[in-house]
Amino acid sequence: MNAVLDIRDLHVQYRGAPPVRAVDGVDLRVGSGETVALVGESGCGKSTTVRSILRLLSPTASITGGGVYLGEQELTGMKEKQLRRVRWRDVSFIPQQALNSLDPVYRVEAQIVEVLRAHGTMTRREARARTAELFRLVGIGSDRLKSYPHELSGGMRQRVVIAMALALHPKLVIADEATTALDVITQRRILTEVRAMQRELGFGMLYVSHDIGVVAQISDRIAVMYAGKIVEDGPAASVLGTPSHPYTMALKYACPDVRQRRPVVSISGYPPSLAEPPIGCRFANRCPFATTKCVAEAPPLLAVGGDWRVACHYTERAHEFREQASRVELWERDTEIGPSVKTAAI
Amino acid sequence: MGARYGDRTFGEDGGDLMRSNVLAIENVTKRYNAGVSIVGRAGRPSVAAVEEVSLEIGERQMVGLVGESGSGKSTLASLIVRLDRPSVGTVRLAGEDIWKLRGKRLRTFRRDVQMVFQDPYATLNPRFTVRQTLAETLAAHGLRRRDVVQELSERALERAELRPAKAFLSAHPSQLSGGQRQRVAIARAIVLEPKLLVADEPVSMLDVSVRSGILNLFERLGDELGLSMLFISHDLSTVSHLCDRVAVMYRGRIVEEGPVASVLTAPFHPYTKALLDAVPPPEPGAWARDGSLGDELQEAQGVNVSRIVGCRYVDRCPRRSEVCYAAEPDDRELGPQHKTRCYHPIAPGGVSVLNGGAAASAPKAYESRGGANKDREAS
Repeated sequence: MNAVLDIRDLHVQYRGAPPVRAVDGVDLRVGSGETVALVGESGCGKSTTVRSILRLLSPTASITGGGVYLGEQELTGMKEKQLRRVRWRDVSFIPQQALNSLDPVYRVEAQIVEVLRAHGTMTRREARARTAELFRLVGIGSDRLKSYPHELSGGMRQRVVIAMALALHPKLVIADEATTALDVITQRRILTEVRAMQRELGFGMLYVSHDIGVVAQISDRIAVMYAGKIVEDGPAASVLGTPSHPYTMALKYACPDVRQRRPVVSISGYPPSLAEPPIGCRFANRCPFATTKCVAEAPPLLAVGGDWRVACHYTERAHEFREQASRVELWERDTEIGPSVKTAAI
Repeated sequence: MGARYGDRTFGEDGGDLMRSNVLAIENVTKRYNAGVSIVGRAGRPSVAAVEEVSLEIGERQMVGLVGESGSGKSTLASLIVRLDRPSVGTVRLAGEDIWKLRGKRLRTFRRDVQMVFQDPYATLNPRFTVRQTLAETLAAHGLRRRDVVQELSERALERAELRPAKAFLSAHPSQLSGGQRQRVAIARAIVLEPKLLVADEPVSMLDVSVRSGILNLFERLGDELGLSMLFISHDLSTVSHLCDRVAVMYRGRIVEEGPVASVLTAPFHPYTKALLDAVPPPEPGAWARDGSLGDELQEAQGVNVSRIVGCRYVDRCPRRSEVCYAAEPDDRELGPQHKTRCYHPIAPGGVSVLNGGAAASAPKAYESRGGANKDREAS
């Protein structure tokens, strides 16, 4: 599969003394028509990673290494003016808060027409027709075209933003917790619609989420991020079915399931400081299987099969770890006072 | 499982009658004025955020309250903790109308009912140490002696699993992670050894790996302290994990209420079923196999709930008929302690949330649960 997006050895730092290495050597590929989910806890660098793609980072952050390739184009070295053409047309971004990305004083139709006209050669009439078509696609009635954002519910607004994101047939759609704020019924409908549109239009999607259930339902591949690095990356069925990194195992067993009551695990402790990351495995201080080797030496991200990579020294013992991983006591230890983990996003 | 925690170290209990229900909400309606009409205040329309709601929470029971945003969950919470007064109806704690309490009895109420909020970054004063946060709560109830404050604070932190407690007492919120902050908020809520804890979305802002730890903590506290709890959440999975009973709210009304096991495996109300069907299962690709949602859900748009004559769910309901438009359905008990407000309930054993063969075996997953119902029957 040819990659729409290819992130190679990306490094992003936030200003500070010493600087915070929020993204530390991330490799990630998204194929056309493929959905890749990026999961991990707050502060792990997932939002920073996806915001680097379109350079939507805060002023305190800078890309210090690596490259972001959109097909043949390299984005990190691109001038702002060129990048502006890429945004919306080639790559669109759906943020978590739809209300903040719509202009309150314009009707929603006008806002989509503006996007269409700014990037294309459409006449106003053509742009209006296309907007009505997009609304149909995301399941909003044409009677809503003339509404202002405040007249729409949260779910409707999120769909307007999704329609806007798909307006110019982008090659890549980036969604950062796009449905987290919605109720489950609306969430399911939007996700089902987006998947159907993806089959029709063939765009690649990079979906950032911490909701394992959502990720399990929409993604072809899953990349798990921890403390600035990818720790596991592979087909959704492999990563969630037979997770091979202890952190992925913990995430899997941390989510309660409405269909079956079982104990849920909680990982004691917190991630290391990214200003002074440990030399060994970053998960070692919370990992019940860690050895002295884990503390001394960082495990590289290596293939364990086909399209599946894991960063753990003991991948050959993954089967044995998985059998123990659902035990709640395994992950428990008394917590210590430590630095609070703040989200770096925005 | 520990016995009911009875050794209160302070104060008198003000007649601690053994009653089966800790909390009883009786036919409560709360209206808020909305907008301004041309005739001024007198003609302002009102919106019922909560309407004709009845709910009971038994001793040691954990009751979940689920529903989408705007359904009235948090309004109901504020009516229970006496932050807001019902327009109609009564809220009783241990049999007493909470708005008729005065003096010492009111102080006892304020100790007996505690609340945990959603945002652990906003509920703690950033300038207070954990010790000051807990001491402030204790001082409000006349507990100021240094050794008493120290002992009760340490005990509360230990129970919230912040160990060693002494180390946490001198910490400021900025030194704590989100999960640890929420544990401090929980310690503050239990330091007075309440009878009822109202937790409004207490885990929705936390990461999954931390969230499960807080859920496990609530479960342990329920057992060890004999707490009753109202757990408000938009997330059915967390409610199903923690609670004995669940109430489903939709536009101000409770549309279904009953034991978790039966509500979640054989829901009566079409809304409950739609909610359950929309929860993404953790097995990859389940939705792709099921196809899309079966029922045609119409998104509700700016409907003033007080203007609806019939069932509130009628505009989205796949099972609606003429009768649904005519009048609000009454509460009917269709299963053991399992009620719903619906003219066309889903038949038990019929279409259920669980797909195929899983449906038959699912209730067994809940049988092992030694919950509050068992305790009540035994006592």
